[in-house]
Amino acid sequence: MKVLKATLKQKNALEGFYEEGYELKFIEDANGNWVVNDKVVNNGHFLSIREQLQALPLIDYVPKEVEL
Amino acid sequence: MRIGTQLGIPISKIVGGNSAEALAWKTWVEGNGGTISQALLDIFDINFFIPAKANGNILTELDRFNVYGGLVGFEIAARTNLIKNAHYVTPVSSPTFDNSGYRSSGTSYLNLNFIPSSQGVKFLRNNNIAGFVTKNPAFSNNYRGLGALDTNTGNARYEVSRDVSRLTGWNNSFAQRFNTNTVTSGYVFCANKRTAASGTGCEDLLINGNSSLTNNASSGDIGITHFELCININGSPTGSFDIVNHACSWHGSSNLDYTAFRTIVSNLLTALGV
Repeated sequence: MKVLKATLKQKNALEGFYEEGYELKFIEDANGNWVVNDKVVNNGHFLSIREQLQALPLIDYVPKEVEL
Repeated sequence: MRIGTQLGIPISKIVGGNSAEALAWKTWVEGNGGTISQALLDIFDINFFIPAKANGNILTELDRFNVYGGLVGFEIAARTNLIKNAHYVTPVSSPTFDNSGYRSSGTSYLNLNFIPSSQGVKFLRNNNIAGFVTKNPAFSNNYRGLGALDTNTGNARYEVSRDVSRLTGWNNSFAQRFNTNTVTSGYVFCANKRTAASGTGCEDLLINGNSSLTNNASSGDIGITHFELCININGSPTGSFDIVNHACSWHGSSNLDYTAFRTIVSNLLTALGV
């Protein structure tokens, strides 16, 4: 599974609420990268930031194991 | 006047107008910027609002109940609580929404905007039930269904999750409880119920009608919102997201007539073609 990777600066700039209350939020993967679902690029709710999202590199998702 | 099943005709249309409860929900949907078709409103009215009100318990013992399945083209309605004008669901980072409801991509989830300690009216620390419905779910991995872990409030935790060969429930951060009577076909109701702070049978893990009563003390009240398709840990989602569709979910009191609720919800999901 592929995800979009952002720097901390990009993450902070892009995170927030968009059309119809949709939220964009990055999560940390097992390697400490800030990543988000690559489907956000084609989601019309995030149209206003599509160009910035398209510029983010795609990487393989490595889930962070959480022992609870 | 309603056309009834006693005539041998499938109920599909209301004659004479919708119930006040259905019309209120339509108003909330529109207030959130969405719409609901008359055909779908009739389905909800006939299969949920009218029988739930007639039951006398369902509508009064829930804080929230969202139906996600069968509402393609009406996503705002899926995000709008059927019980009261509160707890409008936020999709976070684009979970997949289709006829079967919402599922996570592996990083996306739902914020239920429901904080038990301050917003739970029926869902209380020591008297509650919460759950979700999936269709044909696997119990083959750790898929966190809904809940939260708030370590700032006495390690308060509430969770309902599918796990390997079992349903797992948490009511504190120290001990999980299980129901191993898993079902993997049809609509599968997964719920965690608590009737007291502690004592024999105070916690019940439910898979459909199968009950697994245990003794498990509760902990602090959760001061953060519950997530769905994962759980909220102090404001961040877990790594174990549920990639199987949730058709609906709810939070309420343990006094909820769960048996009747399950029948009504199953009929509703069938009528919606989920």
